[in-house]
Amino acid sequence: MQTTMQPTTQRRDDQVAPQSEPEVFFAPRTDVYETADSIVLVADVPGAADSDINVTFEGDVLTVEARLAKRDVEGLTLAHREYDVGNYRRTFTVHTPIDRDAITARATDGVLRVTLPKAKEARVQKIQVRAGK
Amino acid sequence: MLSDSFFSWDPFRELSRLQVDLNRAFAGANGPAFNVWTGQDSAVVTAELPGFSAEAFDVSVFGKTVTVKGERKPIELDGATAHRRERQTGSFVRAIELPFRIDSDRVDAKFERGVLQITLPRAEADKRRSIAINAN
Repeated sequence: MQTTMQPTTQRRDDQVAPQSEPEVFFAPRTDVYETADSIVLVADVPGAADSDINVTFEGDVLTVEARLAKRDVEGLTLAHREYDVGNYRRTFTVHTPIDRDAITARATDGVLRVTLPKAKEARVQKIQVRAGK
Repeated sequence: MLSDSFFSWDPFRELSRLQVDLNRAFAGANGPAFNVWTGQDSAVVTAELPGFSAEAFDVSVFGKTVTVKGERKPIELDGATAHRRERQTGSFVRAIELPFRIDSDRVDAKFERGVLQITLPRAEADKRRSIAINAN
């Protein structure tokens, strides 16, 4: 099977933020699905709301970005840490022609879903096969 | 001989002994990530659980331990082919032991934007108390 999208950044797990960098970006874990008429990208962006998210599509590069404020718990100190809070950013190369004006993006419960409708020429056309006489 | 740590005993240092149980049923090597915040009289546990449904969580408290259960179902798209599947699905169970007993009546849990936050107040009976010394 040919993969339609190739990530150009690393996964979140592998990423260690350098100390000097003031802004931290994590690459969100992402699923990519393809249906007959669209490509659907599903990314985990816990903590992000619609208003924090920015999706851009330039050339054949799709960039998903979310900016998050640090979440401290007032009056308490962090005693055990398994995750860091930071911004999210990941880019994908899309090889399928896309109907750019019809791209939609929505975040629900920390999951971002970007739907990229395929351009007409890229849609699978079902051809009716007629029996020859 | 008594160790130094006995005299400088800090209940929150005990967090280094946080009892952590991870149910490997959550597909993949590691389950959801948890952070634990502590103060003198309360603790807050937060977890990144995007795509979980608030109704499907099971949060329970017993003694010093808070247990969280949850499940994330795979995305269902009609006639879809998956090109990339990095998001883990399945269920997990996680038990975290705090350095104090929890007042189970005042535990509060909220789920917002894929982040679960559980506030766990310390039980009254477990709080540190100064004892007056009677000098006769």
